Amino acid sequence: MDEILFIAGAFVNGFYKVFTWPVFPMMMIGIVAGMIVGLIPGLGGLIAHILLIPFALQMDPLNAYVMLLGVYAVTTQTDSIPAVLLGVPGTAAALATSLDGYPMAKRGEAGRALCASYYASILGTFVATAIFILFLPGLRALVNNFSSPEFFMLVMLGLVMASSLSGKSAARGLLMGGLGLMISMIGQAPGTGDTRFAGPFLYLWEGMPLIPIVLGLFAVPEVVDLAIRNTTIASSQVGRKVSGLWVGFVDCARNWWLVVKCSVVGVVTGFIPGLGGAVAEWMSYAIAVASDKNPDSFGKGNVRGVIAPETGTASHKPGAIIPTVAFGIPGNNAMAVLLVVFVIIGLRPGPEMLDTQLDLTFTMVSVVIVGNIVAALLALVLQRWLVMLCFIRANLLVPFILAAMIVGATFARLSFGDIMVFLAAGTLGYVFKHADWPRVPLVMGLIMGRIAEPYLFSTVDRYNYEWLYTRPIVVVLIIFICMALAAPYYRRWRNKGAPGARIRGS
Amino acid sequence: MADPETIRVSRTIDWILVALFVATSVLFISLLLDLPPRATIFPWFVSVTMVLVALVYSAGNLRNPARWDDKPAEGGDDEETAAAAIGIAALKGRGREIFRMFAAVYILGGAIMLVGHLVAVPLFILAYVLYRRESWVLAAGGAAVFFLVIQFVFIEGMDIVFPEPMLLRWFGG
Repeated sequence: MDEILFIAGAFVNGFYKVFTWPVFPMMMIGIVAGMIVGLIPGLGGLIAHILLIPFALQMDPLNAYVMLLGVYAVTTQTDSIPAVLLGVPGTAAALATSLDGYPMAKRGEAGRALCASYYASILGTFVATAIFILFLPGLRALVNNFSSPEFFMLVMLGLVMASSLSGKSAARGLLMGGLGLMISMIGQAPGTGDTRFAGPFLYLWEGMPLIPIVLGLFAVPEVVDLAIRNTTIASSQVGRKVSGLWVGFVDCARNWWLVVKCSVVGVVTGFIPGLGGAVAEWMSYAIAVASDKNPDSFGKGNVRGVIAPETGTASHKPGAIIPTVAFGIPGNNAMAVLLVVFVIIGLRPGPEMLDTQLDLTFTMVSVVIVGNIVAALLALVLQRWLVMLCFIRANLLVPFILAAMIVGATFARLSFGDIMVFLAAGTLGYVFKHADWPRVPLVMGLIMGRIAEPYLFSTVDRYNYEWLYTRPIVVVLIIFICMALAAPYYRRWRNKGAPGARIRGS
Repeated sequence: MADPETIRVSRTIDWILVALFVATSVLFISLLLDLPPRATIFPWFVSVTMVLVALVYSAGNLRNPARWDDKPAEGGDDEETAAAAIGIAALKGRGREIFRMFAAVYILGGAIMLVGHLVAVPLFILAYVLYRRESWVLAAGGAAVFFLVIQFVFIEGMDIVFPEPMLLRWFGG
């Protein structure tokens, strides 16, 4: 009973904080920025985060969290506007929505499709939060039994899972994760204070700065590609009629079971590091197709083809917050960048986030819920005008984003070393992106190395090496790590043996 | 299926990256030898694992290189932006544009180090927008907005001390 009261109290506290001054206005700034950036094809939540990082670093931590989470909450909601009205998904996460949303718009049901997508997003976040609350007591009990050996192994498990699940080769993911860990070791060793791998550079004594690396790795490739593509959309399509808003709501209510199923998929994929929102989206779409009496109608304007992916993507977000704040294991790209900023601002991921800081965790989850509702309302009222943003030329955006990025990068240590690190990371990031070497494990290694090494240090100090076989949870986690490492090879072996593979091979 | 040239380039990049990772690991291991053992537990674990994984990856690459050729990824690494632009094939025939864009990024970085944020950033925006043949009004307006933001929001509002430009350091000021 005490446990339930504690969780309920933390939820009420956390939810209430969202509406206090100046938290609410900060969240609104994030929401508006996220909505605008989500609308512009080729950009994404990452760019909105980058534009706000310089400001976030100077703010009160809570305000910074809610502002950045406001962005995170809504980018994949407004991206459905160009996806439905113009058939151009603003982000890759809106690709599945456009498959059925655009045909619906072409036959005059744009309002129905958009409204269904907004309600699906809102319902998805609600169901995801309910699932989280339901499992929270179990999660708390589990985490309370953890000590430094278990946390070290958990961090390793998260890294291995992210490495083996992102990208097409597990080995590439592991190498990138390892590189991240190696970069994290530059600077002073925890526990002893010895300076390692810094060479003659005084700048490196404090370790490698996170912000310039993350901005370079993720943002430079996007901006360079944006400039090269110079994305523009023919403005002749802008006059599409938007109507049928109520019907969209009825569609969602009628397909409530689909919403629940896709929400579960979203939460689970959010919880597993390395599985991005795009995986949640396509898995949800597949569920909608598989459970429909008329699967041929998908791709031709079936509203379930809009509801399912939007629910999956929306519920993925609260799901990804939990491992990020509780274990320091980001579930996706955006959470990896957010975690870097959160850690710099002062957040310490760990069991406290499910205990003494649970209300802060709930504030974060609440921002995603409230953000979705506010963004849906704003989008419903303003979508005729918002769609105009889709036609901003990349030529005009690129210099501003680039300038904001480099200014943001300098904020790490206010040194020119930040700019050099940013330029190097940007060049490498571009190579990694196009050579298909996953960047998320690298950033995860970079963050998690700083968390894992102190755990390992104190573990070896206290238990020598006996902890590897005397602690049951550690043994279970080691088995999970082995399974995560073996999974891609098992999958490949199974696919080879599948009848389809044999036919293709012959 | 990608064309032979794309496959050749992507395989070459693959080998270079693996060699880079192995070289970094070996360098780290050699630097560890001078450190007290208590500061090296984690670095040893990571560096040796890196070398082992690189060897496994290289063996797999030698046995069946086609497995890693330019195919779409399974994971969601690039969910935030258009996934279609990923891969070496997406860059074919765009070498000059990529070079120009990176030149712009490096020029901006260099200019900031030489003359400082307050001058370099607005100048860059002005030059870039004009170079792309957009209107003078947008170029000058954008530059002015950034100048004002850096001066009044960052420097005066948030009391941020940007690093001293190198030109100023060299010639005094």
